[in-house]
Amino acid sequence: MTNGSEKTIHTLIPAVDIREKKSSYIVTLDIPGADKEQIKAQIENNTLIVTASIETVAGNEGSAGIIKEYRREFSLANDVDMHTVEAKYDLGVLSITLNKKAQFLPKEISIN
Amino acid sequence: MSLIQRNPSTEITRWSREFPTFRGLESLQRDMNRIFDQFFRGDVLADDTMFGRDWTPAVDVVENNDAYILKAELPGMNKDDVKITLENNILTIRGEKKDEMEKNEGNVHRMERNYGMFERSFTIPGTIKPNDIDAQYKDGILTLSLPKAEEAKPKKIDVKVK
Repeated sequence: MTNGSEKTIHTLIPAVDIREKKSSYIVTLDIPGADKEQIKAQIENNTLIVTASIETVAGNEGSAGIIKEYRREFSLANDVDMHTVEAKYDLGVLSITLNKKAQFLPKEISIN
Repeated sequence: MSLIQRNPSTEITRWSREFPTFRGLESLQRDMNRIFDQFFRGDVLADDTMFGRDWTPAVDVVENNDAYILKAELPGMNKDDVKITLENNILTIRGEKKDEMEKNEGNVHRMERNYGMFERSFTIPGTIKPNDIDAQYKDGILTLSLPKAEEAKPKKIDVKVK
């Protein structure tokens, strides 16, 4: 019997939708099959980095597992408020809300 | 906001969204991949998907002693929008992924995720118990468990050592 302990790593780039609303950007990534704890989103030097590491068992118990490594980076424009970023994971979809800084919000200028 | 990373696998998808003329190219790429896959692998659960859907979910099929396990990636789906049927040994997963955001809600900078109708069919071996197929949807993954009939399970015979 082989011990089959070698794990296969699949590096994957998650598909993404990016939408811009009046006061925020919504970044939506497909990362199916993860636990919330397996997903990491962090901001480093104006770059948003999303990673997830998901381990699955391929066949019979003891057979080689597969690790799916998702990774994607986004460089953020200077209108994004780095301190109010919110993320939510539901049904295999990670949605990240990047709020715009107050000074970049559209405003109406009244005529005197 | 701009992206650093280029994703060659979704490049055609992106083009086809922006220019409908490329759509044929995308499905051609998909179908060619599938034909090669099938030819070289000789799948147990042969893929019988017909041409011409909006998108095709990625599927893993694994076999263990007791069952075939089929996992389809269907992120962000409403469970009620997925239909699974078994007809003449052909198992079909079909449905529609709806765009959860309003059409006019903001500017779209990038749209790589799949929307619209999808369908995938598989010829299942005659050795599974069709009435015991189980389906679960969790975290964007549809897991179908197709249990094997007793006669299809590997047998273990103890050899007595004298």
